[in-house]
Amino acid sequence: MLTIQGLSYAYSDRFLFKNLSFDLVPGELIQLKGRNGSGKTTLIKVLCGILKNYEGSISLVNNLDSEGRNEIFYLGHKNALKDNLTVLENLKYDYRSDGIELTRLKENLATLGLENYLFSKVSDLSEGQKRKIILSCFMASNKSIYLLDEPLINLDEESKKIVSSEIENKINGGSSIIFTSHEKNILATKDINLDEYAT
Amino acid sequence: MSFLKNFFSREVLIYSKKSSNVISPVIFFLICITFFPLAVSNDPNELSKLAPGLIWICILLAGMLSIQTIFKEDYDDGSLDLFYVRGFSMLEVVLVKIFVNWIFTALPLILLSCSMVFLLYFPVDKLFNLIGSLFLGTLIISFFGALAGALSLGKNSILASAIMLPLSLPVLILGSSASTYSNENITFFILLLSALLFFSVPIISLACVGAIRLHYE
Repeated sequence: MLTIQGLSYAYSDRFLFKNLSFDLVPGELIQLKGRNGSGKTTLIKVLCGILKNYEGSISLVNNLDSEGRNEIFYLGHKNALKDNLTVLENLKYDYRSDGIELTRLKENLATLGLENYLFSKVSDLSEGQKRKIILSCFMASNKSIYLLDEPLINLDEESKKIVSSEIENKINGGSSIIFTSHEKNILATKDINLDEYAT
Repeated sequence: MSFLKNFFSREVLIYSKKSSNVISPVIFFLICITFFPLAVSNDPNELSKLAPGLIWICILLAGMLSIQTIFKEDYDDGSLDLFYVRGFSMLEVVLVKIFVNWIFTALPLILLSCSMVFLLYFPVDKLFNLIGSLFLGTLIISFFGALAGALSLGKNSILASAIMLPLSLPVLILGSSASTYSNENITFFILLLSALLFFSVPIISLACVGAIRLHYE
């Protein structure tokens, strides 16, 4: 599904990671590990096409063209939410919720405990609640590849269980996931420690 | 087309819900324009001569308050990242953002300046010259300001001002001249401003796209 060969990324005269190669096959869950600043977020951004100045090759089935991009769900470290809009307004204009029925999103928001915050301004919510808004899109989406940067950050234990369960469902459904986390995930089929690729 | 429409609606909603984007430049403009007669002179003849320049300087400074941060919020909250992930046209993003910013910040100032002309004893027969030059000039300044904002993303706002001020000087000179000279000579200045706008739209928009991309290298 996704093949990475000899991938290197330099920042400020040093390589964050060098000569990184791996394959992502359907139903695989890869956890990116490494100390702070090891390049986990950078690797996610490179894989989803935000950062371009890398060395090596990234090939997606059918290439990473405009069609291929639609098969990628990206959850960044930042939530890309607008503080002065309500939860529902944010979801309406968020491209990660494209093609998803509003009722489905509302159901997921309720599952994550946000059913009473649909018309609240995002600025009034906690960081964990903001994360849950985007996770409701993640839960309702149906993509081939998920690139998730610290998906469980700021979440309470109950929500972590719900999201972890959804991650498992997506893998069982044939989707592939690459995610960064400092916490050990027992579901991960492969670990990549970026410290080993630093120079 | 659907992205353009959706993005335009989103930007309009954001601006309409963030009243400080509209109110701050208006308040700044009102304070400046009302303080000038009090501080400089209350002689109608003198004020009438100074009026075009005063209005232009006040609009330029008031406009600078918001245009320089036009991409900052999207950059800080990760929205720009999403546009790159989905492969949306950054040129469309830049054009929509500049146009919506102009509607919500420059347009109220232009309308307000029409009422301020009486305070400054500005000749009413030149009012259309002033409005015409402001329409063109503020659009050009919006493009220059957006470029300054794109170049200074993630950096101190002083850098944006330092980039924007020299770029705005020709517009300020042409705009205030267009509002000062007699109706016969106005065509020359309006044509120059139109030409500047005509070249600014494609060149500055592409420069903005490149400048934003630089922050992802």
